[in-house]
Formats: sequence, structure tokens, C-alpha cells
Amino acid sequence: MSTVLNNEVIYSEEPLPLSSTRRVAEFENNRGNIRGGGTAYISIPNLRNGVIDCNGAFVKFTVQSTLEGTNLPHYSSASPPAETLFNQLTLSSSGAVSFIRKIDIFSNSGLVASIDHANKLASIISVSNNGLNSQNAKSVVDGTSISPTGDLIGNVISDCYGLFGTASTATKSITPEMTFIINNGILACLGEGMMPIFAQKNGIELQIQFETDARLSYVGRFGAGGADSAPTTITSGTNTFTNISYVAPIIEFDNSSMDAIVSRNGFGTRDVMWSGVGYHANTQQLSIVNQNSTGLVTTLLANNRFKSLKSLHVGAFDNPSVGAGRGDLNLPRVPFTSIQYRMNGLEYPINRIDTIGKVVQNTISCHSNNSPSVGSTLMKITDTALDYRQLPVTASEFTSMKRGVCGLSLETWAETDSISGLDVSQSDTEALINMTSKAVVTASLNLVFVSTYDVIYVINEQGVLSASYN
Amino acid sequence: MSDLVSQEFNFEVDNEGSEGRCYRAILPSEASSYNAGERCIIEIPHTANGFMNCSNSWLNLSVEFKNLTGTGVTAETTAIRLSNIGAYSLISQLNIVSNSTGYVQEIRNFQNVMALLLNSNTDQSATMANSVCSGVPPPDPTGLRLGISQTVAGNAIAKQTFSIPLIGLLSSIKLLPLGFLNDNLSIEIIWASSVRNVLFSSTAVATNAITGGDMTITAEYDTDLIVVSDNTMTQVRQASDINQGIMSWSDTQIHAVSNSVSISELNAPTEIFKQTLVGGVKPKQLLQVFHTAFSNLGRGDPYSLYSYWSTEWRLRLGSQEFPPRFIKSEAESIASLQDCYNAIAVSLHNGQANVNTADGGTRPPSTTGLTTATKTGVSGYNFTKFYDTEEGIDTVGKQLITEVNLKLSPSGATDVSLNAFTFKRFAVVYSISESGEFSVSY
Repeated sequence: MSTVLNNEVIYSEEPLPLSSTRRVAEFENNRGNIRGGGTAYISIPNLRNGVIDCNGAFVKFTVQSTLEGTNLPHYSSASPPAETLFNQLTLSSSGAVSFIRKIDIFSNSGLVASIDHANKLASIISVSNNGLNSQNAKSVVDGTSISPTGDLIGNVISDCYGLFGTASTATKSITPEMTFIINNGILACLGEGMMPIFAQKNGIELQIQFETDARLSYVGRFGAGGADSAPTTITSGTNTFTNISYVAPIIEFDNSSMDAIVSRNGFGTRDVMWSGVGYHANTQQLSIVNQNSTGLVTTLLANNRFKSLKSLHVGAFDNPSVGAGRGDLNLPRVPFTSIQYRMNGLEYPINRIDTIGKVVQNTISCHSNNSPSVGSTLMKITDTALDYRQLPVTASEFTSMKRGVCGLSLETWAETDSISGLDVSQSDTEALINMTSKAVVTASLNLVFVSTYDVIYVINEQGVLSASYN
Repeated sequence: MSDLVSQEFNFEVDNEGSEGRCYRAILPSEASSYNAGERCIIEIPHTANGFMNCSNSWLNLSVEFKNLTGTGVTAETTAIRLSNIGAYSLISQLNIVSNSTGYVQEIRNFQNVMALLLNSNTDQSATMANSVCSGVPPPDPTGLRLGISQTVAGNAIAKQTFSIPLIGLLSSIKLLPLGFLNDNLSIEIIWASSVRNVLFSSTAVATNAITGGDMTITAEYDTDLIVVSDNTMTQVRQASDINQGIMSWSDTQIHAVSNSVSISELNAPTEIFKQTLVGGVKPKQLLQVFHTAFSNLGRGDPYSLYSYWSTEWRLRLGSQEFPPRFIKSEAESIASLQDCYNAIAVSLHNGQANVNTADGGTRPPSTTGLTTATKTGVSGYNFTKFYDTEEGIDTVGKQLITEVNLKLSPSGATDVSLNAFTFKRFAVVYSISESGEFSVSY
């Protein structure tokens, strides 16, 4: 006879939760409308007996862009005016996160988290870890390419977000107002877990710096005639952001429940700590010379000093000076023949990552196990390869976008929630990149390394939040 | 008010992981390269205080085809295709051998097992990654799957590389405790016997057909090794379920058994009833049984799955039928299959089968027909009693029989026989004795 009673036949009631109410609060930007390059300031005050459920939190904003170029969507001079070239402008496949340049979080005027190049960082993590199963809902929420077969062609603006402004011309087009919400892992401690805002003396300030370059967020296509038919180009543009806010569920406890939480955790009497995950992006130029020659390129990753480095990702982004806005500038690619890192005097991995299969498997191992039924990424065989080069856009329509990232897991016990990354707090990290000469290019690529690391958040007795990771 | 403070509101730092470090290592094969049908051995060395993280390990392969013979294979860019299971079609058998005790895992008909798993237990997201790593077809707007085209030049196909995760013990969620073993383990791979296991023509036989050729394969195991301290090793032993010095853990294995279905049976003018005895192991805990058929080589994708029974099938175990009445429609077949993966809920449906490819009673393409898609017809029966437990049905001393009905297909007579495959997934217990001997029981 079995000595184990299966869970399915054990009937029990969940214990009642602590008495509380849950409401969704919206914390608004206090600087009004923001133009590209500007920063939104959002203050989240100390909330009596309140805890923010950051897992359900997001940043919301509305954006309208004015784009300059050729063959842009506009209205004809006929009467009544006809919609002209309306289907030729798409959003970047990475969606609305492409509009966000940097996220900073302050507590009591001290910097808790800073994520620069947030758009590129989020795009790298997305290609590394997202799958097709979530694309439908994501395309509505954050403007990610709907891409049912993984082509990563961005959403067509007029189809998804409305008509272009009536003042649009073929050389200057005004997009409809588009509203998005994002989390995408770039909100640090305001995007995951529970934030005990009641315990923070002066609350938190969230600063969001928006991207200057409108070309990063849009892609021009060819006309209905297909190849070489009235290609839309984008040479410059400006973005205007309104209705910027941080929206979050707040759980408000009654006094006795709050006492239980304070007592259990020791708020106000000792440092209270909890774990989180942080991201750091390091950008470098992969020069024309490096791309046009064969050999080893070594580069140091600045500020890559962490007590527990979980993984490293790398991807290269196109140069906006090439392609006249007809390529997706916020999608990463793999520009090298092989890669390896040197940390603490050792090479990781011992053998270089030198085939596209190894690139994908190493990337999957940063997020899950490598089973053929589980591994998930946005890379696929027809659009992911080593040795990517940005070449002038030819007179043919993109039917699918090239993409690729290379990840490397450094965690010993990745399956559990324990802290077990590689300690690189005392060592520089050097990337050893092998390049092979291919088609001659005329522009550098923007190489972005993303470090994922364990963070410990601390609220001290005085109610000041800080982060510790090295 | 409850006196319970929910875990969500307990603010605490995650524990530090057990003392140890991980590193990736490449385990080479004994020979530098292999030809079709040869035996490849990759030694997994005994590692002091070492564990192998199988779930983050994979096999790196390269394959090069030369001297292809047949019709229309001198230079061709679209018709010659890799099977829908990609690089997995290169492997005929995957075995794990303990150098002290012998076989601890033996998967014959490996290609057929992978055809089952890749078609019934993967989703579109996984297919994206699998297309790069394994060479399976990427998602297609039509929902159909057709192997990736190969460029043939001078009767050869240039070298391709793949990185494929393996199954069975080498995908176990448990870390393989190499440090507790007394000897090396070996991965034994028997390569496919013919290029026709790997490549096929999607056009009429008279236009393109492969009759033979050479393939050169290289292999290495790319593994994630973890080495822990002596103290951690002691803690592992103390925390593990050890009975009289024997450390044991549960897992599952899958075996495939083949039976032929003749042309005359497939073309029976009036319905016939066919019972087939399924040989092989009789496990103590049989968890699921899957049933489908594959075509003989040379007629379409060799790993297309044909639900060949004309309208109905079921299993008989001993004197009992499972289910008591027949599984009739294709919808019922696939629903029964989904149940095997605990995916019967509306939000959980999984797999590559769809209304266009999972056709009941289908037959391989004719000599003049085109292969336009991989067929995905397979069904299954779930014997597990509780969700997520390895508690199935005892088959010791009982005969397993498949029961199908067959009659001439409405689309006409076929001229090729089929190999019906029955897959048994069952619970196993791996054990390591005090002296470090590794064994399996089921």
C-alpha cells in the first residue's frame, strides 16, 4: 500500500489573507509633455500602510511622432483626399520600449537603479527569452510585433493605431497618438516583487528619459507595387510624449495587519533586505575596420563588477546612418564568428561559442533548460546567423527581419532561487570576439553587452532604500 | 484577522547556492568522424565531487553529404529536404552505458521517438529555437511543416552544424551525480544507416529521388559540469533518499516497438480488424502509450506520422481494453494524445498537429505525388492516475495489443507498406550503490 496521499485528493481551504484592500494607483509625470531626449519625473510618495505589487505595475505613455523623409504616409490633393502610402510605416518590432532611453530610480536622492540604453537592453532580452506564444497579447500592450510566424515585421501604424495627421505630407508625416504600457524587465525594483513603500521615508522617484532619435522606433517599407515601388525613407523625426505615468496595484493594510508585517520583518528597527535581479548595458562600437578584417577583437566591459553575475548577453544594433530608415534599428544581431569571455583569469566558456546552434543553446540556458520542447527564443533558422553585416538596403521588401543574440549562463544552480552567479567583483571582464572579413561595410555597429546580476535591496532603519550588488 | 503573514510580504534575501562552481566542457567522441551506420562513443569521465547538469547540455554535430546518387540530385536547390526532425534523423540509437554495470538507457528507433516528441510535445515558440539548433522547419504561415530545403551542388551538400539537446537520462531534471559513480559513463550513438533516413525528395519520384550517398558526421557533447565542495557532497548524501547505502531517484524512459502493416491490409476492400502484439519491456509503471506509423524510406519525409487506422483504434492490456470503446475520430485521437501531456484544458493545447496535417487514415504519397507537408497523425492513451505523478499501470506479465480497423483509403490504393510504431513511456528508478555502481530498474 502506498504511504503517500496524492495532493489531488487532499481537500483544504486556503488560510485567510491579512486584512487589506487593493487598488490600482496612477502616479503621474510632474513635468507635463516631454519631447524626445527629455526626462519624465514621477514621484511615488510614502503610502501609509501601502505595499506596491510591482509584478502588476507598468509605465504608461502616449506618443506622437513627426517623421521626415520621402514617400511618407499622407493624404493626396484629390477631393476628397485619399490616404496615400498609409501602409508603409511600421513600428519597430521591439515595440514601444524602443522609445525609452533610460530609467533611473531614486530613494531619498540616492540612486537605487539606473538602466541606460533600456530600449536596446529590453530588445536583447526579448529576442533571447520571448516566444511566439506571448506575441498576441504583447502586440496590444506594448506594440511588439504581432509576428505569428516570427517574422518580426513591426505593426503597421495605420492598421493598428489609427490615421495619420491631416497635415501630413510625403516628406513630413504626423503619426496618430499611440498609447502603450511597458514593463519589459527594465523597471528594476519597480517592475518585480513587492515594494514596501510604507517603509520609505521620502518615497521613490522614477525618472524616464525618452529616446531622442525617432528613427529607432519606426521602419519604412516599400509601396504596394512591391520591390522598388515608392520606398518610404525616414531621415529624421521628433517624438512627443504625453500622459506619462507609473501605474501600480497598491495593497493597503489595516493597522493591525501592518503591525504584523512590520513586526515580522523588523522595519524601522533593522535593515530589511530582499533579493532582485538587475540589468546593466554596456555599449561599444564595432568599428568599420574590425568588421572588414579577420582577427581577434578584445574589449573590456566597463563597470561589469558584480558579486553574482548570472549571465551575459551580446547583440549588435544597426547604424542609423545606413538604410534611410528601412531597417529595424532596435533589433539585435550576431556580428561575430565566435565569442568567449575572460573573467577572473579564466575563459568562459572554455571552448568558444562558434556555431549558430551553440549561440542559441547557450542563450536558452540563460533562461530555462535546453529541452527541445521547452527552449524558447525569437531566433529562427531563416533569420539568425553568425557574421551579420549591415549592408545598404536593396530595392526589395523585407519579408522577415534578421535578429540574434548570444547569451552565456554563469549560474551554478540556475534551477533554484539561490544566489549562485559568478563573482566578478574583483576582476575585469574581457570579451574575446573573433571577426571574419565579409562584405565590406561603411558603418560601425553598436555592440551592446547586457549583464544580468543578483541585487540585494536594503531599506535601512531610517527608511532609505539602496541596492547592493558588488 | 489571520495571524499569517503571507510569503509575499516576508522580505528576505535568497539563500546562497551550495558551495560549488560550474563550467562548460566539451566531451569529444572517440573517433574524429563517422560514416553512416557506425557506432560513436563519447566518454563522460568520472568527476570527483562532480555533477552533470543534463538540462543545460547538448550534442554538437556536423554533417556533410557527398556522392549522393539517384534521380535529379546532381544540382538541386528546393526539392531535396532535411527530414522534419532535422539533425535528430542522424541518430538511430541513443544509449547510455555504465562502464561498470552495462546499459542504463537504451533508446532504439531514436528517430521515431523524436518524431513523436517534436510533433506532439513542442509548440511554435520552441520550434523557432529548434529550427536553428536542430534543423526542424520553422513556423510557417500555412501551419504546415515541411523539411528545410538543401542546396545540392556536385552531388554534395556542404557541411552543416547543429546543437541538439538529447532526451532520456541526458535531459533529466536531476543533475547526474558523476561524483558518486565508480567509473565512467559512455554515450553510445548508432548513426543512421543511410542518407535516406535524413534526406528526402518532396517532388515526384521520377523527378527527384535519392537512392544513396555518403555522410560524414562529427560529434561532441557540450556539457555543463558542476563541481561542489566535500562538505556539499556530504550534505547531498545526507539529504538524499538512501536505503541501505543505495541512492535512488525516479525518472522516465520511452521505448518504441515496430510492427509492419502490409499493403494488402492497407488496401482491404472491406473493413478488417487488425490486432498486433506489442513486444518489448513490460514495465511496472506504464505511464502512456502512443501509436502512429511511418512510411518506408524513399517515399516522402521518412518521419511523417501517419494515423493509418481508417477510423478507430484502442489498446488491449491483458484482458482489459483501453479505452473500453474505440477512439474514433481524429479529434478524439488528438484529445487523447493531449491528455498524455496533461494538456487537455482549453488553455493548454500543445503540439504541431493541426486540422490540415493530422488526417485520419492517411497513406504515404504516391510515386507521382508531391510531399507538401509533414503528417502529424498520432494518438496516445494516458494511464497515469494523478497529475504530475509517475503512477501508471502495472504491465508485468500482461500482453499489450493494439487494435485498429483498416480499409482502402477514399483517396485510392497505396503501393507502400507502413511501419506501425507503439511507444511506451514508463517510470524507472535509477540507483547508485554504496560502491558507486549505476543501474536502472523498471
